[in-house]
Amino acid sequence: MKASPVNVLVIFYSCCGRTEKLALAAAVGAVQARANIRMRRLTDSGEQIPECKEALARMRKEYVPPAQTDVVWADAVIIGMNGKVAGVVEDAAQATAFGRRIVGETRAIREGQG
Amino acid sequence: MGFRALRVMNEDRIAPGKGFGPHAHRDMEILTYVLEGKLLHRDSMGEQHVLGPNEIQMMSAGSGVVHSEFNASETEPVHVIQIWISPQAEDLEPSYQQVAFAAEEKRGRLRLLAAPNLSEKPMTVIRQDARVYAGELAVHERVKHTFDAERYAWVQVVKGNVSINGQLLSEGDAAVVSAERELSLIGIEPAGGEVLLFDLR
Repeated sequence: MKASPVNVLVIFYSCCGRTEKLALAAAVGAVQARANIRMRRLTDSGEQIPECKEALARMRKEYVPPAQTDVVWADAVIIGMNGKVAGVVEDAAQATAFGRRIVGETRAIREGQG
Repeated sequence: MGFRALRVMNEDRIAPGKGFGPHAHRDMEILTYVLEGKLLHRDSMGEQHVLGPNEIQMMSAGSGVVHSEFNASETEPVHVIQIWISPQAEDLEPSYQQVAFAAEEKRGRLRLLAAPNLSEKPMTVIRQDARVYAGELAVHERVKHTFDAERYAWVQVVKGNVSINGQLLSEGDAAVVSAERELSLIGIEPAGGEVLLFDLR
């Protein structure tokens, strides 16, 4: 019997395309594991990075930000962002706090609007 | 939809600057044929290409590919046919092929675009027992296609009017062919037409 596919939501924050590339690799890995995927880019805060102008314009056009329906759809979530953006560059407690914040806020969204 | 190994026959008109954001495919041979305009392709294999008329793109999704497709122009629409064909096996290595040919190579004849083995260059290799042709026929121009035993065909009219063994088909129509050993395609008024022919097991 074939197991029903797992839905994986890949959320990432990228301005120059480096984290996007990693997010793509994670998404392909999920597909290889026979999951369904959705890729969603977190809206940037209007960054202007001259050397990343093209990548930024392209990603703003190609991706949409995560919606509530994406979160409800997902069985698993993969998050990609650099440590500075996530605020986890100083110590392990920050990483744990970051993880807990993600879980808590996602739950709040789901329960609040679901 | 499903006819032999053919799974999807899709026609899209994409407005300038619009397209399909990154999404995944698995275990599918995906052919893209542009009728008008330019399509920008990007994928997780690192391929980035612009596809135009008189070219064929074959993305073999295999174990998994994520790709996006956008109209490459901010001013002109793009008109595109996309075809999904089941591969012979699952979990194959993903690959990307794109080849261009001269417009006259499909005029008044069937130009081979994809086959399981390289037999005419340039063309793409498909990992299925299928042969894909494009043919453009002026008014009254005729081309024949003969089949081996136990072969089937899907003929998609992508432009104008074409008669297939006496049946008139117009843009967007398709003929499903079984138990025939020969097809006769003729361009019909006012301007002839263009077909994609899939010779299938």
